[in-house]
Amino acid sequence: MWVKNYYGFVWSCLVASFRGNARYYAWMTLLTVITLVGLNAYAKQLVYGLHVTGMSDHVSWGVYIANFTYLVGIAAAAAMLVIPAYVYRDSDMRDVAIFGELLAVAAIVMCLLFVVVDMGRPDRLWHVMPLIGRLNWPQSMLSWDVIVLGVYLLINMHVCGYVLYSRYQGREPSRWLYLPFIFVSIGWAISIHTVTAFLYVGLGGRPFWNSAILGPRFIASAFAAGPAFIVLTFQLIRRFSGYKISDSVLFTLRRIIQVTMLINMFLLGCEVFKEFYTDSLHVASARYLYFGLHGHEGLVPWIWAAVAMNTVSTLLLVSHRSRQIVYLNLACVLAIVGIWIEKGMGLIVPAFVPTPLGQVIEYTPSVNETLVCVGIWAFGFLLYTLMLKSAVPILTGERTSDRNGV
Amino acid sequence: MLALLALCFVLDLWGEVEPVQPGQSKGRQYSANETVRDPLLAPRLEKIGFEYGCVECHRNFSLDNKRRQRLAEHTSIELDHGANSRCDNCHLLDKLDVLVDYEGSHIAFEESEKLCGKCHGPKYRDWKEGVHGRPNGYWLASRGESVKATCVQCHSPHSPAFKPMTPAPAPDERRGSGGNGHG
Amino acid sequence: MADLITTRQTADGPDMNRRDFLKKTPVAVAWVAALAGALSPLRNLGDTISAEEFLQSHYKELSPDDMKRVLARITDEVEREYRVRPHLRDVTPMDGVQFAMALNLTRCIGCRKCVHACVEENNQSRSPEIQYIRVLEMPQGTMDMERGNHDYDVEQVPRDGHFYMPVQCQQCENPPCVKVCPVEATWQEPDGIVAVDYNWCIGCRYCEAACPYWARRFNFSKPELPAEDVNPDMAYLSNRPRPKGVVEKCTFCLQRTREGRYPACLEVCPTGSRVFGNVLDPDSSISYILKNKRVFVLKEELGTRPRFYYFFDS
Repeated sequence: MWVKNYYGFVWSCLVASFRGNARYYAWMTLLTVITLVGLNAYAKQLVYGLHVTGMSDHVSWGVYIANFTYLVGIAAAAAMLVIPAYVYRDSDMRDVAIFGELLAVAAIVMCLLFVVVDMGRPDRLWHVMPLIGRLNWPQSMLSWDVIVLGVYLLINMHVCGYVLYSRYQGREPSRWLYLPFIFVSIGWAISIHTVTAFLYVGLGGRPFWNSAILGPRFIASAFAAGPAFIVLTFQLIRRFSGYKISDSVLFTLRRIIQVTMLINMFLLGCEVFKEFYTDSLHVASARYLYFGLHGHEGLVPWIWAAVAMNTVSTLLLVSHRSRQIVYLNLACVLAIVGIWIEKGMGLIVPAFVPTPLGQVIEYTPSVNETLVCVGIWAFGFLLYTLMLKSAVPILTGERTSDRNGV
Repeated sequence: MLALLALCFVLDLWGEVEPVQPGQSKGRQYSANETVRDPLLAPRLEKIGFEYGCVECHRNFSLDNKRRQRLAEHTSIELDHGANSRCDNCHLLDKLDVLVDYEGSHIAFEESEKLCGKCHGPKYRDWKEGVHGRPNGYWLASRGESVKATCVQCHSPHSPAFKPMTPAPAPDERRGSGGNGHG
Repeated sequence: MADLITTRQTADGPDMNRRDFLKKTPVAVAWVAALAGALSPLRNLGDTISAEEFLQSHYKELSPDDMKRVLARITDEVEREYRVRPHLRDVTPMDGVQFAMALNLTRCIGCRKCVHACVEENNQSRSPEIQYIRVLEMPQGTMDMERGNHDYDVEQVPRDGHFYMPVQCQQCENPPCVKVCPVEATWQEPDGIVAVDYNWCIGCRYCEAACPYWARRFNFSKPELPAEDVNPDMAYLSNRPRPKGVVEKCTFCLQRTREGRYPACLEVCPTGSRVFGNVLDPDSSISYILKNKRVFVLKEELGTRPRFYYFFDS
């Protein structure tokens, strides 16, 4: 009975996601086309191997893992909606927290895709599955990541699915069936990003990563970039769906980003001080990132652009200017892009330059690699739009099981 | 429009997938185990289109070490072995193919390392232990023999320092290590 | 404009009429065509993986019978591809043996013969070029590898004012690469050799990121190995031809050393710079080195405890 009803709910969501006006179709077609372009690029990678990327034995992780890291942060940032909504009982936040959880679902799916495209043997994905494969737990941080990301995905899918299903059935969700999960998800959100940071922190052979502050930095930057992303998303949702999201939600998020951006900048400053003031041989990677090494300066313009964006964004956020939505949006865009550079390429690539044997070989993503990334991002947006398309009418009470005749 | 997209995919209109160059056979030239000194032979003298070993002449006329003068015939014999500047430092003068040590004891050519050991004690000890010089074959005695190269197989006794040699090709960073030219 | 996401047309319901069908079918067909087009590069995928290979268990879970089947399958595959019937077997570690190597930096002249002998012995890809040994040309007076030159291409070695330092897998006793592997595709054998199961590795390259000695290599594309260069003397855990997308590394030539022979890099060294043997045997040459020479290891501060020692002697 219950299973049948839930099936009906999922089916009606699927049907609903195929209906919309011309603008909706245009948007979805665009995303699907980009996804297909990415899929095409990935098909080529499957045939020729990771040779078609810019990676090498020198820089063996690149833009795939950079995006993975960034998106784990976006997924974790759902906690920044859940905490005010459920810990501080902000009722405006409670109405929109589910959008953050849906975003977390989309972000985790993108994370998993980025990991899969980075694998040399995606056909052996089952080797990583707990129980059927041979997971090196608790030794390998990657095995921890598989577990925490998987569980986080399940928690968020359960909370979103259950709340929406209940509303769809026209009744209030039972607190006992979702509130415990909500509170677990707060701690879990911190854990997914901490484990992802530990993935890098635990490597003694890469001094650029082997720093205790990396974990806190990951959390701070995630809780800045994630809410910034959500601020923009909410404005799109209320513009295109008519779902009421009050400005107070945006300004609560602004206060969060204010603090997390400041902490992020502070922690980054601590790292930069330690590297350059100590000035040991281990500074090589940081020097490569900020000033270039032996004439190789591939990342220098990027990281300074990121520093500039993060600084301007922080200044905007702390000034009263950003009480105007336009400036808040500007600050958010700058934070999103700045942090993407800083903890994506700016974090992954320099750890490989110079190599453990002191060679300086640079990395630039290839066209094919970039297309795969763009494809995954498009697929993520596609997924998120589909989920919103199903969720919004249920939350507004426009679509229930009665009206759908299921 | 979608059909056009499909066509684009099939015709592969974008991207820069560069197929890997087929591997060139370089043969198995580095599986040979020659030592740094090659050939292993004694110095030879070239004269009117023939090559001569030392003994071929010196069995007929003995060396007079007191004269200490270099003859034109011997310019190709490089003698750069520390303080050993005379033939009789190592060779018996009237019979060059017999070695002789500082006290005058004779040592067979086949056991030349014993002569080397008279001066190079620590090296000789290391060699006997199997840690100086290059072994071949088996590290595990029960499976087979470990063949040790002797001193003169690697070092020319007349000029024992290793001669410079041409190194094998450098790694190709552009094609190697998975790199595809982006390096 | 405010209705992009909100559904309005619930009126037409689930039943699709004929006109709708006619209108929608071409669109659906076009989408399927686009999807097929996107996947069309897969037509070049070449040899597919058999169900048996796909489902093959981890090395340590293979029964002797399983191993026999796996070896037979790989032998056939190699013969089909390279027209050489390999002598492929699973060489297991010997009891009471732990390997170590020492390298005499005073002797090494940087001729790189070990690099190429290793490639010939271990069937590495010739294109892209995969080499396990990297020789650094170091200026005298420093151990800072950043000052080393990897691609010196000179008429003659050794060059004045330089020493040469070959680096390869250090077969660490506390290997970071083994610790990080998410699927136990790489592990330390009882004789100290860190091995990889090429049929279990998922190609995530975490071990490459973890290795402080840059000793691991990834098959970014299908390894190119000319048939005439194949060394048919092969072991499952070492020099059998590798598939695309997996990591490989130096195994101290276990196909040779576990049968009592010396590794290829040692046998080709023209200056006899390398010493190899069983550290558990107090009379072995490697034990002699450890007792009598002032040896050091690379990056000792990382606590990896290499089984690869360096020393200088006059």
